[in-house]
Amino acid sequence: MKTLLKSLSRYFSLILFLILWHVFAVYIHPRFNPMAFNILPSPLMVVQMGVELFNRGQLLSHIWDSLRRVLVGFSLAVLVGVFLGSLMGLSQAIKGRLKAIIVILRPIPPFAWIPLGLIWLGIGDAEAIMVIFLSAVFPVALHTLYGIEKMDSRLKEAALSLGVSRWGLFKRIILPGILPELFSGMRQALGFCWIVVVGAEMVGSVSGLGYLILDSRNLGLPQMAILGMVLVGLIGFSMDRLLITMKKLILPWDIK
Amino acid sequence: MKNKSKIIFNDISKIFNGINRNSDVIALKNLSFSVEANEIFVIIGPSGCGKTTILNLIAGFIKPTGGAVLFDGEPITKPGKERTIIFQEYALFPWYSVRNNIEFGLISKKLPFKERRLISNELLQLIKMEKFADLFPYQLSGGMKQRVALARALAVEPDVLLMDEPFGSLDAQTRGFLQLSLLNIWKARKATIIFVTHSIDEAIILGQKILVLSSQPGEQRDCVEINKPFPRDLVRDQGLLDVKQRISKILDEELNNYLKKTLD
Amino acid sequence: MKRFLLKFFYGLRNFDFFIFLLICWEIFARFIYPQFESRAAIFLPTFLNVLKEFWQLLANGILWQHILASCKRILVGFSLASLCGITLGFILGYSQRAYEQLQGICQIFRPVPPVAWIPISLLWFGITEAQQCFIIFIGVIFPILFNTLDGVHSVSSQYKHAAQSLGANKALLLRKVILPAALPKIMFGLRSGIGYAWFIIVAAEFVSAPRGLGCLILEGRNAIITERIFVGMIVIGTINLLFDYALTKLENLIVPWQKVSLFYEE
Repeated sequence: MKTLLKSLSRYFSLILFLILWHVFAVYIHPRFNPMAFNILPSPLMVVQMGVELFNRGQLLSHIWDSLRRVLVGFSLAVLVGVFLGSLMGLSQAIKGRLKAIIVILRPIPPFAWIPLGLIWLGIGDAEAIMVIFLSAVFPVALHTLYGIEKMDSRLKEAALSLGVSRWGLFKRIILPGILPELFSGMRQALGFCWIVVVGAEMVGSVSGLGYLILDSRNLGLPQMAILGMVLVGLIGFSMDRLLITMKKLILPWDIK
Repeated sequence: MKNKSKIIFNDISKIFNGINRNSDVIALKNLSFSVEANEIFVIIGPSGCGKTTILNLIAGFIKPTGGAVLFDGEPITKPGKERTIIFQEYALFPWYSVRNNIEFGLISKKLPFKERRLISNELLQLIKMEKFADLFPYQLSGGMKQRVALARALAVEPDVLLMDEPFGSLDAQTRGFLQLSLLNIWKARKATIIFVTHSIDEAIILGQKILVLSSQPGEQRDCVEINKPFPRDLVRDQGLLDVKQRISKILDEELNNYLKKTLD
Repeated sequence: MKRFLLKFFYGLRNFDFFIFLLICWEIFARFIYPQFESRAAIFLPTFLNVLKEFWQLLANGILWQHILASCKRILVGFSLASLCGITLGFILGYSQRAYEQLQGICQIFRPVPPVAWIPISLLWFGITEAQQCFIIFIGVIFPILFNTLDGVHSVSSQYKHAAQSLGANKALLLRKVILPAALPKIMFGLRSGIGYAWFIIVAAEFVSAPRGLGCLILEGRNAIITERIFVGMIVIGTINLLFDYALTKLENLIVPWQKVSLFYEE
């Protein structure tokens, strides 16, 4: 019983917050402003909106659109990023030159690429995926590089003196060795992807959670914006947790 | 009868609670000993025998589960500068220079700037690091860091100096040098030193009284008194070699017990 | 000084590939692309044209206006966020009770991207500077807060024990041990925050701003002057880089015992 209460107390501030929000939005605010609900809807209204959109099938389709873009962009970024990172790790000459390019391209915020993406690829999935890709490829590449560099060369030497082949070395020593760092890079990249997709959809798309949040302005339904915000937060958080769980399963030996 | 011992362990037990009864760790069991003033008291034992727990109890970071630890006749309730501790990992404050580290305890004592300077200069001379006063810990070697840790502790003029394997991570030469330095400082300042170590040689070189502990749970296996003067010759002095054998035998037995316990 | 110059010029040779790419870009955009795409200038302006646009904007002072507008917003939002973030982070890291009560709320708001706040912040603040600063604030406060929290929370107990063992009371412990020990992580949080601020500001300015680098890019798009888009992108990237460089140097000054290596030095 005690532990139940203790775990509930973690949500205490959240529950209190919801209650205060509801009381303020429904009872206090409308006294000062007849248009109160146009500025701050109550939590119930947000939930109602969610249910309504869900029933119309729009909720799931928006969520899926955003997720789909992230998944495609992220996967591409991982493939390309790992490839580039490995190249850099293998050769100092390549590392120097690719790093020079990354130094120049990385500080450009992914959102800044959106207008260019719109010109090149028009409105739609492709443009969003391009921007998502750009936001994720740098962290992945760099973390792959760090993973390779941080690896204790003595591990490789130990394996070689135990008679392992080149391919065996890669498969059984190098690959597991860089995975922890790679996962941490992927986690960071996924976070960026999710943030970027919302922004990209706001500016250049007609579907997706970002679009949903933006559209709330056109429709004058702030509860839709809040619904979108909550969903974005929840899904982003869940994806992060999923990645961490995957890491615990695949790399149980890495405690960090 | 007034007990003049500096530190008294009176039937001490210490249990660390685990998640359930089975994972409770009995660190110390019915341990009793006393440390006299101005004595160099060495604690030696196998890994996990509770040596660090003893120091933590005296320092005041933890409380005993059973029994009482007395300092000058009073039970110990919290950490304080009368029983200051030196760690194996030095724990020097990386954001302070050597001098500021040494003066740290003096700031709590609210000494004015001039006095603090006087004391830190004196101590810097003592540990022979006057030239390094303004360097930072990350710029120092292990041996140098340990000397600074020593000076920092001495600055607050503690009644009891607790040392937790302080020379453990240093090479043999630096170790020897620091052991001699410690003896010189002890002769000059006459403090009570409680010194924990793994090394039998170190125990015999430094200890006037050596407490030998068993493996977990830590109980007293032996208490050896050595009345020989410093510095001690561990190579030629037969008396010392006998003591070394005596302690070695006990530690070997404890190792076997431990292996038997874990392999069963 | 000589060593610095040597390192600089040695590092410069890594840019040979980059310069090669620039040349390729120029040749492709100027000679090849227009052959099969009549609107080539819209899709890929030549590098020299981009430079020309940059020079023009710089010369008539417009570029500076945009830069200052963006910088002002970032500085205001960032300063507020730092103040609140460090204070809150400290309180939550130091007091177990405060942590238990308040961490729930912070964890709830944290995963919501600042970009998602834009429409609702427009509702609350209207199209104002305050709205822009708010977006920066809400985006930057969480990395700073949680890094500070982590910094304070994870102060090695050895330092605390050593200080107590030297007679320090609670106040001294806080000022002279916990605060300095947490400083590396706090600085890291600040550095992350600034990078993130530049990340966000573009999106914030897209939606509603008369001035600002994001706005410059938007202008370029609306007027279909792609050169302007490029200029905006490059300028933002450069300023972001400069801020990060400056903050890293500052960090190494304040926290010399945990030197952070500049990305570009390796």
